[in-house]
Amino acid sequence: MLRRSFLLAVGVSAVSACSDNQVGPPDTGGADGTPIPLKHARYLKLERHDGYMVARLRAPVADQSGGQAQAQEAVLVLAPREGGEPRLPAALRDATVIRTPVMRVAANASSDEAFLGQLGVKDRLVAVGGRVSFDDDVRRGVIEGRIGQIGYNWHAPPNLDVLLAAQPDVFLMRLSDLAHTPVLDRARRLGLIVAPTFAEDEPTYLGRAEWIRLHGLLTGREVEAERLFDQIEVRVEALRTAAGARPAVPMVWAYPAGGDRWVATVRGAEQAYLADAGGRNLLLRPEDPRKWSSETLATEQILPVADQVQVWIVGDLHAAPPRSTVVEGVSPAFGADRLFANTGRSNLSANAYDWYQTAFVRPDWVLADFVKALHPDLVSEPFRFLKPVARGAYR
Amino acid sequence: MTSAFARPALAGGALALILLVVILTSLMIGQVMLSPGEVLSGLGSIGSGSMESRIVVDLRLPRVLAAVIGGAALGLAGLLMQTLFRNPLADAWSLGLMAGGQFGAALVIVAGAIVGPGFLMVLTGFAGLGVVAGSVMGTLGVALAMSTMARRVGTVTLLVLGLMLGFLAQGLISVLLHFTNRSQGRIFVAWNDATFANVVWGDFVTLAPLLAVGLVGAVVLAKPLTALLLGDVYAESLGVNVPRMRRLVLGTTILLAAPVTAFCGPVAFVGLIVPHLARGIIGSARIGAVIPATALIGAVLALAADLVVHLPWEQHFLHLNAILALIGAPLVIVLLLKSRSLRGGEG
Repeated sequence: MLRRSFLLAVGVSAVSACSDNQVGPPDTGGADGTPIPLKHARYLKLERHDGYMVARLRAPVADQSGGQAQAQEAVLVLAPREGGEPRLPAALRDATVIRTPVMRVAANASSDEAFLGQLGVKDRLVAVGGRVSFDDDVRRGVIEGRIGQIGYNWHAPPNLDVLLAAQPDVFLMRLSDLAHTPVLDRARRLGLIVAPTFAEDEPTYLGRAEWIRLHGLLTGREVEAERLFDQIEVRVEALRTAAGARPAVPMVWAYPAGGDRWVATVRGAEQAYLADAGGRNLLLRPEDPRKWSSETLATEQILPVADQVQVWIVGDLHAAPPRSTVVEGVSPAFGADRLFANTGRSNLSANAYDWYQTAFVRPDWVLADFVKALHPDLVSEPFRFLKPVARGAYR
Repeated sequence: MTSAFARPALAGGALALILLVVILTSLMIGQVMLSPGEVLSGLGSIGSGSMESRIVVDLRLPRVLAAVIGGAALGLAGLLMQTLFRNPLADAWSLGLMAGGQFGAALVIVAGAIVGPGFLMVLTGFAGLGVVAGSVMGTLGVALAMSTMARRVGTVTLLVLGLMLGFLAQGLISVLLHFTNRSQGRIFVAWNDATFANVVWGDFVTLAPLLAVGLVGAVVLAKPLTALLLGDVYAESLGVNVPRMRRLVLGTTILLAAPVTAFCGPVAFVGLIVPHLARGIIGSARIGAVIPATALIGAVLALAADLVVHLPWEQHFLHLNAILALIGAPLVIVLLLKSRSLRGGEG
């Protein structure tokens, strides 16, 4: 029997606001290992040991009522399927042991589906959140009953019955809500091997994408993962350099959300896309890791800057077309039809949106779209996630 | 002048003054703070394109006006329903009319997701007004059902039926939204999160005539409604055609409540509590005397709640119905505890 134990430290030290010195992968705890350098991921640490790998995961997780975040952590030992039980030092005795490569994977986050898809191993998925995957094959598998439905992380804790029936080698569980942690413990007691994933919680877009290294180790696609991430990094740097040489374009990323409200990107990884693409976000607010990257603003807060906006990311799948057109009448972006929506890769009839899936994994594609929107001559490839929209269209 | 007339006049004057103050305050206060001078400057420079003009005339004034006439209309609708059903807890919300409006709106949104946006245009004749049309039809359907049932059941039973209809509608809405996509669902959520800020100048072309007819209807029906307060037999002895009047009152109520619900979403509690406040201030249940106070209090209450919503809160936006519930729910509780008839056979 494999010895599995999931170390879930429901932070004795409540991590208020994920300050740098408090949150991040735990120390090696005395176990010897060679760190695998990761440049961007803050919540993931990888080490190469003699005969096995160690992944240390640690991130702040808040409840969805906006309560204070608490540190959640896990230590995973990734041991080759061939060979005997790894001999672990005392410091790793409570770690979760996963035999690799995993051939049956369950995941309750769309982003984890996308990581596997990018590595060419989506056929190993035996259970996913539900039937709204953007990937046609995965969605068809769910509809036909070949792939189980365990519930999406943003919607509900995972369905343990389905997980047990699916018999995954590993369950990649995105913890989007502190309230779901008891289910994680219960899954462990039921004999499931659980690896919590915090890729979507990373504060930078390259940090999110770098989690592909973990997926590569888990699935035996380490080389492919490394190569792909290197390509992403190079492409991102090239785009940044090209856009940085141009004058910044005044812009906003804000979609109408009913009444006189707009949801605007003001900070965080999403704001970084705008800055790196050569945009000047007119609704920029100070960075604060405790806060969401977007904020709800009143129309009259947007109106004073609207007359300077040259490019407007105005469409979103959550947008509710506004009744008032006062903003439209003021902004040059509306006058010049420089309007975009992030719904370029959407399948409305399937209720599937790749913005919440592959966009996490391929920030180079996302950044290329933003650069193309702001400086059209710098990118020749077609839009992927962004798409131009006509005035009055918000999706 | 006798005191019977002096009190309503005095109250009316005071309420009108309060309303003016709240209107001015609402035009000044928001995420962008404006001085009285800037408000006046904005009002005096319509079409100039100045920031004050845009904020005051294009954004705040339609919202304020919608809150004033919407609050007045919902208050009057509540007064008519409480009189018609002789039930102090009757209003568009408690009798399930708003739930019907919500269900109608959800139905249109799901149909739009399945059939396509062209369906909405065929349905309403106006692009983008599908939710409004659905809401009106849902409100109308429930109003007719409640009207039919009101002849057969007593006061408390009618309220319970309204409550059950509300639950039924909420269940159906939840199931309907399950079968639509997230994108369409968001449109329903935006409408269902009641707000007067959804109203734009062009909407008054539809809103104003309907509400004006409703207001005139309420005034015309005031005298026979007062007679109805003393019972059907007494009203008939005074020459009131009770069945016909019931239909007229119901029609007037729909004219007052349905357009507001359609354009502003399901605004709760105004219709329930305002008539009680008006009767308390006027000191009379005579409908003719209570109507002006009901309209003014409804306007003040709705606008004041809207003002609280639009105070310059940092980060978080409050919800209109949350503010109205904070005011309304305690009042209903007090009303229930004080009313012997509503306690159901106690004492």
